[in-house]
Amino acid sequence: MPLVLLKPHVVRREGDITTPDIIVDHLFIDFEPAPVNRITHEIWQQVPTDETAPRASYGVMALGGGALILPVLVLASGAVVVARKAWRLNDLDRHIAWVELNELNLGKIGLPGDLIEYAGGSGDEMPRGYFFVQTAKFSHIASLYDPVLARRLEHRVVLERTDFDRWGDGRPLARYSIGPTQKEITHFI
Amino acid sequence: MPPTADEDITVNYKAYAATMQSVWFSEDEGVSWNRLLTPTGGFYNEARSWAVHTHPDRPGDVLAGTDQGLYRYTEETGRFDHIPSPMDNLHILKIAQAPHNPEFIVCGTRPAEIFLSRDDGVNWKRVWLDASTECWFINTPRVTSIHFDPSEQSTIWITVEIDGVFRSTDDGQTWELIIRGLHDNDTHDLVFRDHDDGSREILCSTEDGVHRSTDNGETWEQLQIPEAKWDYFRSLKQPQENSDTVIASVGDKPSGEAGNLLVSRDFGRSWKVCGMSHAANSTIWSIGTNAADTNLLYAATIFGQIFKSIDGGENWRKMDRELGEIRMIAWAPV
Repeated sequence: MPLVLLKPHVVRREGDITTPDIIVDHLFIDFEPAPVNRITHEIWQQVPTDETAPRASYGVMALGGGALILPVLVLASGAVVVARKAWRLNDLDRHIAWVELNELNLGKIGLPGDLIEYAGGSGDEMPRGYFFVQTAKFSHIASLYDPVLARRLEHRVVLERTDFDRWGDGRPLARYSIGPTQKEITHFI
Repeated sequence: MPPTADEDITVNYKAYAATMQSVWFSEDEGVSWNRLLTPTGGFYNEARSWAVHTHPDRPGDVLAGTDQGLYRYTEETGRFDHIPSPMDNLHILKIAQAPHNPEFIVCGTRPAEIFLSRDDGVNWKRVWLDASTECWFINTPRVTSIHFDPSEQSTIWITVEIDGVFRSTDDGQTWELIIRGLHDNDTHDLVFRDHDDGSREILCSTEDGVHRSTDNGETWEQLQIPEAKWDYFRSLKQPQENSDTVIASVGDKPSGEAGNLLVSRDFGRSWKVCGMSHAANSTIWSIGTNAADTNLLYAATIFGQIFKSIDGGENWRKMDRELGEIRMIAWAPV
């Protein structure tokens, strides 16, 4: 019963923003099932020292008012980092092939409609709980650009290697506060 | 005049309030309210809590639904203990336990999902509830009430804001949306009346008044309640299960700036505005009843006022203490 709660801000073509919270329980990356718990909104990621660059991607997710499209970065270590801003597919339906992910037309990468059809949906309707990711070229930034409405969704991750320690050699012991007691406490509750 | 003394209340009880700053307890008939001590209470004192639930077979136990998971308080431990569940990252808005089996727990969340446990919270199942995943008005629908059917042991009812009334006849495994006749799918609460002749009536509170069903929820008809100053009905409660007496809360809007309480002694055919010692500062969001004493009721406005009735809901006295933002109020014998 794994599930992930996503909280995208959906920017409509008129500029309105809605903020649905969405439960996702099935993830597909390039049409292959993947563990849903890899999905996160957390853009600050710790990665192994031999981590290669993320893959700039876009995601399509089911929602009652019409499926969403949003930038995604798929890390080599497995994390699927999902942007907090999204567009409605039905705001793009007439020019979706001209929408770009990192300067590549979606028509060349693979259209959202193909993912939705694979999921058993049609148009901008797809089964609830599904999240499909279509990967593209390697980049630390995933940038969706809509040339018709002249708007962009840019998503980036901040990667920190596991051997980096911001404390260096000076990492102090964990402390606790005695709070309002102003007494020496030898053992906390 | 509202009552001023509680000499008729003989039951030893605690009152509980789920607020946007965790759960508050009153051990002195609603006069003073306190949270558990921060260092030992078991959960964060500023956790958002939407639900407190008690069961008559478990006196002193309280289940609390929060934005950090499900918790159980017991008198023995004096603290909240976290119950691991798949709801830890959701908002747990409503909790119910089967009257016949407190180990059967049903929780409703935001987004609108239902989770069941048949073993007192050890294992959980997310059931097949096809509630709307998105709402034009509130973006994310949520569960507003859960009811075990008073007659059919395997039947469970829920209301979803904003989607309608759902009914399950298989212990919550599958659900059916039943909204025919509702003027508004913004549904909040239900009460049931099973008559001796086998007929049943159900009342449902909505953003647009109260609706009645006489065919077990298949169709609904809006009631005309001229006594109500507003249409936004929130809580419906029967001090005595399966009785004709219903207390309804209403307000100008969510969250609102005004509200009051109405009482019906004939299951919604006529209503009377209850006597209240003070004006409500917002919609009255929750009414707390317990069959242990049908005269004792609590009510809370969403913006923190607490009212108490010791005459079965006819008159209500505002307590001096206020609690910020209250989402649910309850009381139970201990």
